[in-house]
Amino acid sequence: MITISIGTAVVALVVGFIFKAVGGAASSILADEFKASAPHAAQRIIRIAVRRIPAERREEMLETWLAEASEYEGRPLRALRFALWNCLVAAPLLARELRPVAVTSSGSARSRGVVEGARSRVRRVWNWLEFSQFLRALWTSLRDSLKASVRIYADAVRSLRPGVSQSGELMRDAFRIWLAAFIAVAASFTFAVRSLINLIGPYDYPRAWRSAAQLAVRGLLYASAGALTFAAVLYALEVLFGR
Amino acid sequence: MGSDHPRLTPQSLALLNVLLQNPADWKYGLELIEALGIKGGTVYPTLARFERFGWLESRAEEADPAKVKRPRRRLYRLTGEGQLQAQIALERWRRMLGAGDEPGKGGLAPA
Repeated sequence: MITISIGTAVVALVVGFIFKAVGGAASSILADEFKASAPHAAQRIIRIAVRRIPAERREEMLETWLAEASEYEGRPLRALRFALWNCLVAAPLLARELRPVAVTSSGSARSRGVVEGARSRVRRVWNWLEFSQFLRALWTSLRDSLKASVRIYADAVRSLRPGVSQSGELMRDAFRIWLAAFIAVAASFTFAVRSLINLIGPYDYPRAWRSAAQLAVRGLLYASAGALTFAAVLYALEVLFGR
Repeated sequence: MGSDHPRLTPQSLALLNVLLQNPADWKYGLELIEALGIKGGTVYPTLARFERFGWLESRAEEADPAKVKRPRRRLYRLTGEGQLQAQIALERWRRMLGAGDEPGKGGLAPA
């Protein structure tokens, strides 16, 4: 049975009272702060949202949304919700609707012709270089060396760890881990970056920025793939030669 | 439907239905959002789509921002062509679902 002395109970009561008083005051201050800053936050969100809209319609939509958000005066949470769910969500969809359609039927026919021409040129060069034969030879060589490597690897495993006869299992484990981790990292990273760009990126940000962003994303993906491969190799080595 | 017509979803039909009730009246975005109970993420792009196809016309509110103490709203209403097309589309919808079932008023319609 747990016994509590009177002194401990008094201390607990005092501490509880202090926490309640401080918590109450803090929550009241926070609520006031939130009420005061929510309209500004809503306006800020609307300004961010209109950056996704084509420049020629930006001012118009900014005025429209600010006017409509002002209907929620005195209701900061509603204003914030309006800015988030109506403006921020609508902006990319609206941008898609307002984007001018530049491809005409004659333009598309012309571009089809260009694509066909390029394809036939590539096919001619491909045939001239006899790339098919080269690739076939390369594949055969790769396959043979892979087979040889697996054989050497399996022999090494058998000699070092007599209990592990199925070297394929170890490789499969390492590969599975690598693949799962790579997919998880790549997918979450790409999703996060794309969401961020969609959320804050202006509709017509310069091409150089876009290229830089893509380069950064690719770089990070390759870096993570490299790191994961390294980790998978370490794991395989540990499984093989650990203990 | 060909490319000379906007894509019609239940939400966009509900929007047309509301606009068609008093076609001469100008309505603003938030008014339509509240009338339909649809998110603005759907309403504003749909309004832009209908405007692009000439079914809707829009103008800025005439009120003086200094006097009303807020920026000017954007107002929308159906054009003559829009009214005609909306009636045809809604008629087709009603025939498809059975009489009395209107988009935006229960049934399969948006809340």
